[in-house]
Amino acid sequence: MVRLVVACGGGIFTTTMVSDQVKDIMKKAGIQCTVTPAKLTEIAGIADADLIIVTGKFGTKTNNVANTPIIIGMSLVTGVGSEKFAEELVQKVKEIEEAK
Amino acid sequence: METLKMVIDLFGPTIFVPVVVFILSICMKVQANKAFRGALMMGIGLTAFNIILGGLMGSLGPIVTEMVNSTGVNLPGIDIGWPAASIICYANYIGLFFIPFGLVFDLVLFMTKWTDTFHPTDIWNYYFFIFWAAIVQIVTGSFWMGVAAGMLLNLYLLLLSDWIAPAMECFYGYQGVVSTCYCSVNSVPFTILIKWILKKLKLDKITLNPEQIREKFGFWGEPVTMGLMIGLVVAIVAKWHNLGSLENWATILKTGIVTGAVMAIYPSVSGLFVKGLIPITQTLNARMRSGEMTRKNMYIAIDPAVFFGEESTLATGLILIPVFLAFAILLPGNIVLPLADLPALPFMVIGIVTVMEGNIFGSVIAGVLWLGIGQLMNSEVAPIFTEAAKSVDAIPASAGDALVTCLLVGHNPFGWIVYKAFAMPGAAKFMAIGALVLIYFVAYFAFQKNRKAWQLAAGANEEYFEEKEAIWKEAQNKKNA
Repeated sequence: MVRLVVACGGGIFTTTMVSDQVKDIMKKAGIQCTVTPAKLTEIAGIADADLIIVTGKFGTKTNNVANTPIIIGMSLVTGVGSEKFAEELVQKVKEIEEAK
Repeated sequence: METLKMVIDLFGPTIFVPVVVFILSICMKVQANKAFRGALMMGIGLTAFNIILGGLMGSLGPIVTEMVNSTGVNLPGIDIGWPAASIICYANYIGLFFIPFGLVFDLVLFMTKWTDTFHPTDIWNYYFFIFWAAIVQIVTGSFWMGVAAGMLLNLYLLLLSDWIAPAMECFYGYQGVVSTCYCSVNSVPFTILIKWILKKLKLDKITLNPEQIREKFGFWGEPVTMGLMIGLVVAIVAKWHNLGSLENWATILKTGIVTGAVMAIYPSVSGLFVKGLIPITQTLNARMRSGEMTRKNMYIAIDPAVFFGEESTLATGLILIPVFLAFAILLPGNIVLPLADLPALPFMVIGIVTVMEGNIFGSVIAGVLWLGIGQLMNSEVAPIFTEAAKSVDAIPASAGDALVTCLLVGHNPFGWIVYKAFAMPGAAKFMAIGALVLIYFVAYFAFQKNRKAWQLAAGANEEYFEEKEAIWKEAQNKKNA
């Protein structure tokens, strides 16, 4: 089980938008995962996630307590390059799954 | 008409909001099953939200009332935050009406090239001006006055978006998108002024480090911590006269837990509510993107959440949270206790940071002044918005004399001035409204005439315009070939 977190400014609109698509992508790839919503301001303290997906720009040098990798999923908001992003995401999640 | 009103009253917003959104989704060619699921979730979100806000107001309302009565700390207005304000706005008739009506109005404005911003993709944030339309409806007693106010505000909003779009693209680096959320763009003219003053005073070269700020102030951005803290502090102040009583301490601790809990649950409930509008947004977005480039200037509206996390934006917003709290206590005339929207402050500085081109010092100066102005406006509209909330049963009777408002949405000088004009008595009203319409047209044509200069002043750079020109030429050549 891979634990994903999706975060945006308010943890609501774009987070829900991206979360639903991430769930679809994972389902198609046959990967079991949990998707939890969060706010960007909460990222520093998230200790129980394997990968954090942010919906827009976010400072690259964030000090997350658990050093969880962070990727930008803006393409799922705008729709531009969403297929390429989906491939990359599946790849990344598979790597995490194997490392576990 | 009467029968229709009776039917709507009988079923209430939890039924009607999803029905309207479902029909609209089908009209916008969203897949039927997606539209149905989305609309259903919206009704469920609305219901769940009423329960949660009832919990918050039932617990914090009496405490705030007691604080005002027993200590003289006059902060009866509770900031219930934008997730709650949005739901109250859409649950009111005028909000429900504006979802399809505003969408069509915006489509017409875009198709006729009156504006370059395609607004319907950010339909979710319509509530920022629907809030003021509802205020106008309540003070004038006329639904159509409210609609007129909403339309005027929509026009002003799109002018601001067209104005700031190139600067946003330059600063944030997202191509072809702009925020059409009032709280993120209404600061543009004001910030341009402050930027000019700072330059005259030679204070525009001071730089601050966003990373350090985030480390020091990060704690202020955690919603649950903030909710817990504010709940505890308010309850302690309210019970100050008798802190020896064990019973009072039980109330104090419970209040803290309830406010913390509400902050924790808000996103998931609001997340259900927005599901109804997401399919419309996505369908429109895809259609806009797939179309060939037929216009030189075109900006697609996007939710401001994608701008929130940029370093300078987040840093400026975090610094302003304690400042805002201090304002609440020290600013004469303020009656609003900041709460749920505190962690959302970075949304309010998006326009400021854009105009300041990421300079945090300048952004904080502009932000402090801007927030001060907004607090006073919010204090004025809190009693009226409370009426709007009560009319959709969002506030339980146990809340007592407590008022509700929302920092982000009530902080809007454009909305405030429109409300003031519509609230005038007799013939003065029509003169004031006429003046606002006239100002809009003058500003609109001045902007169209000096586009580039205005956009440069808002923080865009020369390279942007050169690049745009080159891309446009290439597209034209391709078309001709």
